[in-house]
Amino acid sequence: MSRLSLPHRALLGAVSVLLMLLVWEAASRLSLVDALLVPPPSEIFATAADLMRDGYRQTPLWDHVLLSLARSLAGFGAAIVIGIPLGIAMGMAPVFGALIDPFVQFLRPLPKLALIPLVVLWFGIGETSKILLIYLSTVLTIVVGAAAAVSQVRRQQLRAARALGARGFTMFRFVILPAILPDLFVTVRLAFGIGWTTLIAAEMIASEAGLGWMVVNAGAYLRTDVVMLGIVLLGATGYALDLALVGLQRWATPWAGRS
Amino acid sequence: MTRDRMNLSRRRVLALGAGALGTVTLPGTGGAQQGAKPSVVRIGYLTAPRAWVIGKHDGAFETALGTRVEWIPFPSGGPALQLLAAGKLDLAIFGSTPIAAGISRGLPIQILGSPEVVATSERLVVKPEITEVKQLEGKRIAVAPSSTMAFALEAVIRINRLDPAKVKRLPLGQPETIAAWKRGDIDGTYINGPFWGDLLGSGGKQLLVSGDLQPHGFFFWNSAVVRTDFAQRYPETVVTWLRTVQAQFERYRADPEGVARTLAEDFGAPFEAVRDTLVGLSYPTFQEQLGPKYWGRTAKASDAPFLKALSDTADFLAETGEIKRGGIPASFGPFVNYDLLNRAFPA
Repeated sequence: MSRLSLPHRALLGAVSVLLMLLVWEAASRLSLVDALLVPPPSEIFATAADLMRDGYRQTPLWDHVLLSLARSLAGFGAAIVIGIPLGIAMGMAPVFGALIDPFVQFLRPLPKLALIPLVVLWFGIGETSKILLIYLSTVLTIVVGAAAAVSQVRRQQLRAARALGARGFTMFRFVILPAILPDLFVTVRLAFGIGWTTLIAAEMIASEAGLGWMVVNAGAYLRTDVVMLGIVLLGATGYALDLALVGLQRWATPWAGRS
Repeated sequence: MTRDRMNLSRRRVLALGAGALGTVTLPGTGGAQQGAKPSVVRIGYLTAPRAWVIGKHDGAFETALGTRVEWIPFPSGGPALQLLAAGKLDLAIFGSTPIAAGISRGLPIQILGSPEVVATSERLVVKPEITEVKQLEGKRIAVAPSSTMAFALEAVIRINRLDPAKVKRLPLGQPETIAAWKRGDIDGTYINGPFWGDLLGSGGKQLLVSGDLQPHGFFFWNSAVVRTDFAQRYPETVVTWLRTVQAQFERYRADPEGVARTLAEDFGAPFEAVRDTLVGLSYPTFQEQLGPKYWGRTAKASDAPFLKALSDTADFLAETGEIKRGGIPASFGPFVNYDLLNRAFPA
C-alpha cells in the first residue's frame, strides 16, 4: 500500500471539502435545491456570525458547545472508568464473565431512545438523566471491547510469562495490559463515536442549551441554517476529539502494530 | 481508455444526474390543472382531540373529496412544519405560532381561516403553592416547543412584566411533562387538553387559560393551511375540503357529547377530559372568520385583527431568537388564500 505524506493528505482533504462547498453554494444560487431545505454555505456562515455575536436563544454559541462537551465527557468518562475494569475482569475471570454476559448482550443493542421514558421517570429531567443516557450508550461497548481484547492475548505469551515467574499484578501490568492497550484505544474511539451520537437523544430531555438541543429546537422552527450549523459544530467537535484520542494512542502505545 | 469513451461516460453520468434532479423537482413544476383531482389527499391533524377529526372516523372526507385520504398525525406544530417542508402533507390544521414561524422561514403554505380559537383548551397549571403569576419567577415551567402554548407563556411573562431570565422554561412534550410533574421535577406547565386533566386531578392548580390573554391583544388559534403548490393544482379539492371541515364543526355543534365520546375512544383519553377540551375552543364559522373581527374578505384589510396578531406573533418569535427578523413579511395578508375562502364561502 503506497502512503501519502501527512501534508499531502491534508491538502487533498481541504481541496475536496472546498470543492464540495462550491458545488453546494452553486446549487443553491442556481435554485437547483430549495434554500429552505438546504441553505447555502454562505447563509450558514452568516448564521454562524450572527450566533457568535448574539448567541442562540439567550445562550452564547460556545456555551452550547461546552455544555454538550461537558455532558458527553462526563457520561463517557464514567463509562471508561467503569467499563474498562469490568471488561478486563470479565476477560480474565471466565466465570464472572459468563455471569455478567447475558445482561451486557441484552442491553447493548437496545436503542437508547427507547430508554428515554424510563430514564425520565426514574431519574427526572435534570443533568443526571442526560449524562446517564450517554453513559449507558457507551459503557456496554467498552465492556465488550475490553473483554474481547483480554481474550485475544496469545496463550503462548501468557505461558511464557508464567514460566518466567509472572503472577497476578505483575502479569497484568507487564504482559496483559501492553497487549490489550492498542485494542482498548480502538474500543474507546468507537464508543466515543456512539456517545457523541447519543447527545441529541440525551438533550431531547428538557434541555435549554447544548448543541443537540439547538439542532432539535431550531428544526421545530424550520431554522435549517441553525440546524446545519449545529451539525457542522457537532461533526467538527467529534472529529477534533477523535484526533485527540488518536494522538493519545500514538503516544501511549508506540509498540502498537509492531509485534 | 480513449478520450472518446471518457467523454461518453461523463456525458452519461451528467445525463443521469440531470434525470435524477428532474425527477426530484417534477412535482413542484407541474402546471395548474383546473378541475384536476389528486389521487390521494394527505390531511395532517394534531394528536389531541379535535372536533373536525370526527370526519376521519366515518370517511366523511373520502366521500366529499372523492379521493383516497391519508391521515397524518403530528404531536405539535414543529413536526407539522417539517412535514409540510418535506411535502408530506397537503392540508392541515394547527397552531398560529408555528404557522407564523413557517411563513417567516419561507415555507410555501397558505392560510385558510381560523376554524378553532383557543379559549380554555390551553391552560397554565401550577403547583398549589403558586397563587399568582408573579411567583412564576424562579420556577420551572414545562411547555411543548414551537407551540401556541410556548408563545402564550412568553405572553404571560410579558404582560405581567416578569423577568424572562428568571422563569425557567423547559421544552418538554406532553407525556414527558406529566411524568416530570408526577416526580415533582417541574413547578408547572402550559399545556393543552386533555393533558391538564391528569395534572388537575393530581393536585395541580389552574393559574390562567389562554382566553384570559385576549384582552391584552394576544390571540391563539389553529388555522387551516394548504401547501401553496397543492392549492394551485387542485383548487376545487381545497374548496371541498374547507366545506367538509365546516360540516364537521356543524356536526359537533349538533351533538357535542356524541362527538366527544367517539374522539375519546379513538384517543384513549377519559370522556370528560375530551369533552372539556373540545368546549375549550371556540368555533367561529368560516362566514364569521371572513368578517371584520377575524380576517376580513380581502388581503387589503391588513388591519384585520388576526392578520395583525400573526405579525405580532412573528415579531415575538424574532425577539426570543427563534426566527430571523429579516424573514418576517410586511403583512401576512398575501399568505391568506382569500380567493379560495371566498369561493368556498361566498358573502
